[in-house]
Amino acid sequence: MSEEEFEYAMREMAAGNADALKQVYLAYRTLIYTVCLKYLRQREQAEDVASEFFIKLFNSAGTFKANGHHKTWICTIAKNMCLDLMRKEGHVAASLDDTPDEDGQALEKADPASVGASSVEESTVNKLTIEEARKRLSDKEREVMDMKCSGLTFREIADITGMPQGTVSWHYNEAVKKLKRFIGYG
Amino acid sequence: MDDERIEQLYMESLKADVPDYWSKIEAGIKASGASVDNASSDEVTIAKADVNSSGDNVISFDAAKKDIGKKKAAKRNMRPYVGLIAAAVLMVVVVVPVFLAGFEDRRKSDEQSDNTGYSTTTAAMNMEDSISARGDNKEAMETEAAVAEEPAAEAAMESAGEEEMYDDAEYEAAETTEASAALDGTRDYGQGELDYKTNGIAGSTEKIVILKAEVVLKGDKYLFTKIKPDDSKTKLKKEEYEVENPEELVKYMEDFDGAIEVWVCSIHGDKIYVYGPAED
Repeated sequence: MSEEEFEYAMREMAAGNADALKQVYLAYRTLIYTVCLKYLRQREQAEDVASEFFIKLFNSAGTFKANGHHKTWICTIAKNMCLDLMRKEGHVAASLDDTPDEDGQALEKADPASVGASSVEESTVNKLTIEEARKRLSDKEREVMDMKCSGLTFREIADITGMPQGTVSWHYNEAVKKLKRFIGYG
Repeated sequence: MDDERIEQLYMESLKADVPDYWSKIEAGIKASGASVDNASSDEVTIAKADVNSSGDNVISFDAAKKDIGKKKAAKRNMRPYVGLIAAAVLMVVVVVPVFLAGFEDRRKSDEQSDNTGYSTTTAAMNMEDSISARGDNKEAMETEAAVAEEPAAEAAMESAGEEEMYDDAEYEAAETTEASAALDGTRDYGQGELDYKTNGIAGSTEKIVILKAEVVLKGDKYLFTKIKPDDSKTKLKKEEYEVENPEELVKYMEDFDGAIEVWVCSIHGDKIYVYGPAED
């Protein structure tokens, strides 16, 4: 969704047009859910917060002021909502590297060195689906890939995550390499 | 396979992994008072009021940015006061104690000045007492000397041109009667504190040869004592000679040569106040 389209949708939402909200939802439901899941690590909570986000977006559309970076804006709002929830519930922000995946199960770490060094493992993961391959990415690689595939630029991902743009780009390239290898195209 | 294809596959996987939560949104908007299907601007306004009145500022990114800006601005606005605060702290920590110390010094100085005044007065009084006592002692000693009838002592005194006899114990006492006599004399020798280096008194060219000389009979011997500035001229020197024959005293009285005078003085510690030559 372009800036103009988003601004138009917000104006429509401010006027009470729910169809505009639906358009925004369809465009960003994945992105917002991904952001929420990144922080909350629980699918249900992520879904709840993502829903709440769109409700509030609709209700406060009249106060929207275009700043030319609506993707960053909505991601920041979603992130703040997650942080607020974590604060209220006394959650401690966990390191991305030692947190379980969204299913609550320990995610096998995709150590680039070990993966790259083991041809046996490569052959084993050769038949992985993209879903399985995605789970084998490191948290940061998956985070970057999720946002990138949701339509964000490296610059926007860097702004949201706080990582340097070069790091974002590096994680993306690593993720793409792994995915290619995991699904048998590497 | 190129990156775009991977992204495409990944995106499909991601979307498949994301649940459809539109129903929750719909229910939430309805719960907030607005109908998604038939939303009117009035209802939306009510919903907005609810959001704003909830006090939740998370939804407002602009507000969050403004909050951050306010914090930064607050810090920035505090900068000019940092210097003032530092100056105030410095004032309290350094300047005030220094001022108080100075005030204390001045107070002590004033107290000392007062004490000095009192001490001076007291010293003057003591001086007078001492002088009076010295006069009494002199009379007593004269009486004692007369009773003793020691011709040798008299001879020695005469050779020294000195009639006076002094109590050995009172080196620091002033010799008032002599001092008065000296001040009444025709010669103006001046009076004041003895300068050890010049062996004289400021304003006077007279040299003080000897400050004090006395001969007393001690048992069957004669004790001759003279006090004068030592060679370093920084302190007094007391010389005592004990002889059996009064004639022997002559050799100890070389200082009297040519200036057989005994100066009237009072000794206070290291300072000697000279009043003038003793009168015959």
